[in-house]
Amino acid sequence: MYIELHASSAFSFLDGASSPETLVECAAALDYPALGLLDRDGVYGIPRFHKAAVAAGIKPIIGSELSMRINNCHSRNVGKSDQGAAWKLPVLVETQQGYKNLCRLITHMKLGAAKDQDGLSLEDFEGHTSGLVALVGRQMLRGDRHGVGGLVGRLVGIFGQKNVYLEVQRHLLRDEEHDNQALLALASAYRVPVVATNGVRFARASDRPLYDLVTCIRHKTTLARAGNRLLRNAERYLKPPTVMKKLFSDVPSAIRTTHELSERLNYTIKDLEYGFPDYSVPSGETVGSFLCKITEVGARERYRTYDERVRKQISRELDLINKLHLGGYFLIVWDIVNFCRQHGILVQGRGSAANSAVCYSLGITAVDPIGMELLFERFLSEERGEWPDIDLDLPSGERREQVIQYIYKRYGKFGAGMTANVITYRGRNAARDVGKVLSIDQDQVDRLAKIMPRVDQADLRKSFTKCIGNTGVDPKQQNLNLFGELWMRLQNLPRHLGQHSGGMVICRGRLDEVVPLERASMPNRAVVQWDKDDCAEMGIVKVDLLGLGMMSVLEDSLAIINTTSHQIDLARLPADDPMVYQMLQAADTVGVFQVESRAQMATLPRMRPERFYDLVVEVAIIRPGPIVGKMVHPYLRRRSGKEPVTYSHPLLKPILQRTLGVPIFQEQLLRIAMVAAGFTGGEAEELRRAFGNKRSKRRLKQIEMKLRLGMRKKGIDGHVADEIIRSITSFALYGFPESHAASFALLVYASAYLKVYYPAAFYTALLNNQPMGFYSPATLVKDAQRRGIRFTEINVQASDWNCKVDIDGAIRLGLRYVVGLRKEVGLNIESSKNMVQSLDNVVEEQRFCSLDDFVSQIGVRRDELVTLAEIGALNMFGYDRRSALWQIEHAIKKRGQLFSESVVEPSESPLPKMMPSERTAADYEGTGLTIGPHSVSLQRSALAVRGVLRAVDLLRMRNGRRVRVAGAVITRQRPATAKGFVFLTLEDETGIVNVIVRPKIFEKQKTIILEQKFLLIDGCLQRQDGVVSIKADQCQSFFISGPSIESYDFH
Amino acid sequence: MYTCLYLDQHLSKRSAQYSTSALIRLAQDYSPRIELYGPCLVMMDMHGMSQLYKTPQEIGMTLRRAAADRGLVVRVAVSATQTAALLITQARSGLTIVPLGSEAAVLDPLPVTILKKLSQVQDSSSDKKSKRQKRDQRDLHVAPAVMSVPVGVCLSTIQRWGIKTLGDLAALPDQQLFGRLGSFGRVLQRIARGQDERPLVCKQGRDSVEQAVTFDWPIERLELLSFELARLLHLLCETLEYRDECAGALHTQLILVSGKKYKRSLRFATPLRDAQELCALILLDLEARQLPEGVNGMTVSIDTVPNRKLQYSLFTSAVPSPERLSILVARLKVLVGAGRCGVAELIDSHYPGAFKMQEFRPKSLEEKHGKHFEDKEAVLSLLPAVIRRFRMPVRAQVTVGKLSGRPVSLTVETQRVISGRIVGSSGPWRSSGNWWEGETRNLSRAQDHDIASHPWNRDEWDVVLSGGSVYRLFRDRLVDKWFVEGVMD
Repeated sequence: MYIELHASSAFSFLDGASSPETLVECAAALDYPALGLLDRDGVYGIPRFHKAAVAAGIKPIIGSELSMRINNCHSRNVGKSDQGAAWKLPVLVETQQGYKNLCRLITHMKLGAAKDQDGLSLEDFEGHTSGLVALVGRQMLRGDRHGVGGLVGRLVGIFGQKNVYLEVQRHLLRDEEHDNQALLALASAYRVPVVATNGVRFARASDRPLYDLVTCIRHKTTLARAGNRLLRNAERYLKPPTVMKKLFSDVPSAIRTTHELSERLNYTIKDLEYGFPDYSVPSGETVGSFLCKITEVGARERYRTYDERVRKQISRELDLINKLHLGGYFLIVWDIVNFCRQHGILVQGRGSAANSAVCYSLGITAVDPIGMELLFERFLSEERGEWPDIDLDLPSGERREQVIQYIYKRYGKFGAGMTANVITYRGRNAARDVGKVLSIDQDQVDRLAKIMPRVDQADLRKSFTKCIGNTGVDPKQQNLNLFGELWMRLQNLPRHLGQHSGGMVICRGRLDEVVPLERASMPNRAVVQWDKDDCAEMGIVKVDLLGLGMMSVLEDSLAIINTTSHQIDLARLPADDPMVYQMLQAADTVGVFQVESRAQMATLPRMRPERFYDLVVEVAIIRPGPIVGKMVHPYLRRRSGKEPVTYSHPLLKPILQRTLGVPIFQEQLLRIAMVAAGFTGGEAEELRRAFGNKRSKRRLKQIEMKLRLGMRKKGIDGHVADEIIRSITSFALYGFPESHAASFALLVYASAYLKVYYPAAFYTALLNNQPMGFYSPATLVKDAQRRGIRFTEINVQASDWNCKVDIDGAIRLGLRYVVGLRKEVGLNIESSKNMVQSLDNVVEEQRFCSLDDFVSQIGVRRDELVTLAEIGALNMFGYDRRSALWQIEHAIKKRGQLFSESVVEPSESPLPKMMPSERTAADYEGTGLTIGPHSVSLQRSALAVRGVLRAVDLLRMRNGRRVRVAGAVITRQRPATAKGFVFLTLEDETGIVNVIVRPKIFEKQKTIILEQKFLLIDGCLQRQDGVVSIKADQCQSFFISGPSIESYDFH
Repeated sequence: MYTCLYLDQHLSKRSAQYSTSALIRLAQDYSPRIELYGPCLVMMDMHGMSQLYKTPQEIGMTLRRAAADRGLVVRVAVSATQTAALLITQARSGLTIVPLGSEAAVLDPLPVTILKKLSQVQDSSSDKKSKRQKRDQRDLHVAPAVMSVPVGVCLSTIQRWGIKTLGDLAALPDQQLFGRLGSFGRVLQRIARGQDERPLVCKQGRDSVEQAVTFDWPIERLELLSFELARLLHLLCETLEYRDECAGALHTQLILVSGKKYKRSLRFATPLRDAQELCALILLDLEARQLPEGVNGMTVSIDTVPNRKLQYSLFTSAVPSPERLSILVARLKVLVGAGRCGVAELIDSHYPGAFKMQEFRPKSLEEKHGKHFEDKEAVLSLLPAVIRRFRMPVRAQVTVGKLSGRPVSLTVETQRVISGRIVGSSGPWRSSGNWWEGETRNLSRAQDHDIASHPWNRDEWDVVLSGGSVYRLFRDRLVDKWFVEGVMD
């Protein structure tokens, strides 16, 4: 019986064309009892392979093709692209120790070498070969450092006589057969067994085009130019055992050996020896008792009325935690949170952890789950048998990195790693790569890349032709059908490994013995070879450390506020402040967390939030789930009393009461299943996952049956049951968890509070943490100015790298906004200090005495100096902007010692001063924003002649009136749920104008709408529940030579 | 007094070359001292012409009339300085007379961006530039001797200063400007004031050498045409000898009886200057293509290149001269057809024996005796057998063993010699490729040089016939037919 022991999947990253699941499916169809997966330099696909193989009843054999280096030796057939890693050594895992060794070898290779130059030497194997079996094949003939015979001898010496097999493959190639004869002779000489494999790179022969495609992508070439880099034929597929037997009819032992060898290889990934690190507790304490103690201390602190209800809930949670042996996990997360607190780093747990009273008591989360009646089972349940998911929000940037580095330090270089993110081919990137490989013209590739995501894969040909026709590409063009075919087949294949934004795994002992680690693109970081789902599948615990720009803003705002006489604590902000809600109701929310988007701003005046829970709903309601499930309008209508509050069944009333009978949160879905169908907490969570992932139709059907059965027992049947099931199925995928929304709502309230009461600090922090949010710094500055905040210009004598609040309360713009200014130069300027004697003989501290002093002290480049002069940052030396430009050309010239003091320059310049429009243009060009007049205001007189209204004028207009408005475009949105409608936001000197463009108008005036920075819109004014917008009939450009203002488009 | 002539037409590159030649001839007809500043831009020194032309106005009018007579629309500027004349032609059409001493005043309102036009064209062929950039660059004109300053850098600084016109630039204080922009700034300012930086350098641009003839009666035979052709080429080669130049390319334009123009161009691998050889090459080229009708006139022009300098060596082996070789290759191409003459070169493909034809270029002695030669010997010694491919694979009938699936007998009806019982075989060796090409290859129509650009899928067998001869067979799996590809030595 033949068993394929050498198959590679698409997880060899562009060196394989079939997913592990497809390989398993084919192997099962061919009646293989086992299959060996050996991906290149990794075990990336092993979790998925293992799962699929176990499900298909096939024994999964794992291994890897290791890249080997040739050191300073003559080698034949080594091309330029093969330098460094020159040949491949396939190894198979026999035992647990073998798997550990493989992981360590791969980690050694990946961490020890620069990217794309990895490879192991034979010396690296010394002491790490136990439990590994080497397949020495044709590839070895390329690594002839010691002579081929010597190399086999060396490998036998390293791996042991019993653990080396000579691998022969037959792909009907002349030169391969020649090499096979040499390999058979070697096997006989060294008395090692011969094993036949097919070096599978794709599941079916018909997949060869796909493999050729990925080969071209790997080599960055086209099919027409790839030549000998492509396969010579399509024989590297998973062949039926009978065919393999016939192929090796002259070496029957090679076929027999596959079976014998597979019998030896009994290790499965199920035996992964992963353990979560232990938390060292004080002597005399156990993990459980210590957790109980600190939880109780925390609970007394947080729950000022530590009543029976709280005590009971905490006790229930602790019992379950101890039962599942998860105490250590909670302590470790608590430890991370403590580290953050000690180092002044804001931290807040979110996600399902916010459903836990223990997490709240430990300070991991900030939302009281008991007060908000959140469902604990959403977080943890006995049935699921999974690790709980705790996400920590941290300030983005350096402070988050500080926490990550703490974890590395605490658990060791090989004890922690970031989870990977497997980048797969999707619509656009697939279209681009396929287009390149087929040598399709670049312009056409761009057009195709835009339309391909909209092509319906179920009816590719028809849908493809239709979409192509709309773009102006000729559908009869020769390559296009092939393009469509390859594009479809490339979907979801892995392209390369990335790094997950915040998932971190930690391990007791060595993580590199559980999963190989790789070098991340960021310094001092390592990435594991599995993504977060695979880690979860393998039972590896993950802590998400997510960077949140708003956390940085809050932290920076507090730092600014607390340096003044005011002292505030984020945890003790006054609850339900009316001014805050007043601002939110007016949708004056530019810069406020989560509720600043165009859609949120349009909902706020209709929602009119009055208390904290309204914010929770507001955060959750503008999401794909409620929008697709058509929950938004019913909720808003019920809220405003335009529609009565009804329930599908009286049993649902307690669950949906808070959301006026409309399901909005995931937790409600779980509770419905629990109440209406008698599910346990764990079963309900399973239901959510099953519907959410839509992985198995059979499984979905089973759960639906169970749900119906449960409801029937409770007397819910017919139409009502159907309606409940429909709401669950439509909602499970996109629904937002209430706990998550509650955590976000805290940040919404905090940011809104700061905007109302400490606007200068808030805007300063916002400007220092760009890019983030929906609006460009230019828009933020104008918004702040409309709120009465004063700004002062960038000035080398006074500005720091970051923006700051001056003593007089004005915001001084920071040097970070000077386009092209290096950070080190900016920091140099910030740290310069001089004692200068003024005309009144008063000695005062100044950074620079003169322009010459500035130029000589700071290593500033000419282009940086020019920008500083143009934006007026050198005006403090007594010049206007033009004069400064004139003077810097003199100051920057290097003069010899002889002439250093002899050239006396007149202080006046012969140049004309800048006009206001020139100053505005220079501001935008040099800083991306202006604190002077809005660029539209400079055109106001001309616009007024054309009958253009200001944003502020619109508030007084009646509904349905025809109006003409104009402004700089600050956002362009085209949500997938909006049926082709485009939403524009224009800004003028008085505020912002919302514009709705119908699909027909957009198609007609696409170029103008997408490309012009300033638009003049004719349309009809719409006023709905206090929300004013313009329905555009015509768009035209104006102020073509105006400054270039950054807009936030299609995010 | 200087006069600048600038062609006021948008022309294609080819037309611009032609018009520049015409412009030079026009200028030369009126002044012995001219300088070619760039394509379509000529500066004339008109000093000492006051006896002929009383006023600058008269000079300008005369030149415009003469240009119009030759079908050229030109801008003309007459000024005491070259710079002023040059800048005016870039800004204004028609005739402009700059009064003596008023150069700066006339230039005053011109925008400073006009200085860009005087900058050198650089990297115009760079692929990285956008189409618009390339178009802009084509519009620029070369005046290298006038502007040796980095105008781009200086101009952006000047524009940043809010300087909009040449007058603004001219008014800046000299010393301070020098302190900021150095000598470049001073040069720019002098230019803005209409002052000359250097005298006129009499230099004629390289142009093509041309001769034309019109016949009284149409010539219909190539032999008769050859006499006239030889005469023209003799004259042209005399000119080339006088200028110590050679022909890099030769363009022949025949005016046919119907009024149509029949054009041929030849480019030479090595520069030539022998009238007979040039004549032979043109005739061979025309011979390969039948003349469609009688010829009424003929123009022969030559693109000149510097003369070839040769240093012969005692150790150079006797090889045909490049001139003779060119003629030989041209003759072979006439005989066998274009694309079938040259050197076979392997192409990067798995298709067995895929090659393409390259131009034949004899290797130098060093190349022949160098590494390649040694490698070739080594490679030949390693080859176990040599396959002699049939130029077109021969269609064959092959019987395949039912059990073994191997070929057992071979029959070729057209060549009985290669038929017989197969006593030994090796295979199948499978290769396939070019699946992305739409059309299936038809062996009977396929040309050798494009054979690898179609999909193929075949199994090869090396077989030994009972007579002892060894052949390579293949089965085309796309059409399920057998062929004999070649014989092994």
